[in-house]
Amino acid sequence: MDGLISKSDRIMYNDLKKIIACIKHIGLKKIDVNDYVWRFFIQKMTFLAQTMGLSTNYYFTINIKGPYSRDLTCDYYQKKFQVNSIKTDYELSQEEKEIIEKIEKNVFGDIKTRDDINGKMHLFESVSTVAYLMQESTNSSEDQIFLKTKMLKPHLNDEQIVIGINKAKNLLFKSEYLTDELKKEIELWDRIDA
Amino acid sequence: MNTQDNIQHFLDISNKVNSKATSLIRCQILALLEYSLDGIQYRELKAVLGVSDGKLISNLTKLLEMGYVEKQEVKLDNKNLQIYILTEAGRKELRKIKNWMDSFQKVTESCITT
Repeated sequence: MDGLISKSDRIMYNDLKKIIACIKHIGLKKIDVNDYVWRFFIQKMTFLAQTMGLSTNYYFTINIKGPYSRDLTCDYYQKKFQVNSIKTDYELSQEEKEIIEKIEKNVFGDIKTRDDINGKMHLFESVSTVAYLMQESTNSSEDQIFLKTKMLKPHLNDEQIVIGINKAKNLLFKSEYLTDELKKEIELWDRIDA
Repeated sequence: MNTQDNIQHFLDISNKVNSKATSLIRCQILALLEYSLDGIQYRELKAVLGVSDGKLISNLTKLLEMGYVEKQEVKLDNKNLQIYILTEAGRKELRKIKNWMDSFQKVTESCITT
């Protein structure tokens, strides 16, 4: 794996620095890219962050593994030391921090160790797959997204996919879509709850 | 190269390819594993190829025996899962298959144009 070179090493390495900074911001101290669980986590986290506006050049495909970037894989194998020790000189902007915090709040929860991640693999898989499909075909209904996810990921049960859809909606919803009309409606519902 | 050379090259290169690795499903598995450097879970391979367990297991077993693929056991979400990864030997064989396919294309293209 050490001999693998990604398409554009210089650009990609800058992107990887950003991803390492995201991992650092979550509060993880050490990871191991030789471990499938950590690699899975990096792939899904990067995809979700990119979908929410973190600018990187990684290209993701969906066919086999849910969102997966070969370029990202090449990068973390090439820069194993930096990734494993979570070393980077990149400083996340406030906006980038907010993106990763939103993912942390909605999907990751409190993750500090490999075991924390391992218990939530199906959730990461479900949310990231749904987010990919929502982004790819913005006109698809929830039912269509559900069926497509079921087809791509038959091992996920219905409940896991529904949770994935709800969490992906939370992640992808942009505050600028919050029109005055919507705000009024939310206020009405808030009053009922009170 | 002219058509004669293309045909000769195709015949020469054909002898270098391991015919046991060139069935459709085995080529598919090797190519997918080359793309997915992280390895592919058994259940992911099954879903994407749409084949029966029997067909998939027997072909994966052959690729394992030939040393083109290796298997790792990983515990994910409290389940023991098998992850398949392409070995260096598998990567070399895949390169030979690709070269063979390229030469096949050249021969067939020259047939069509002449």
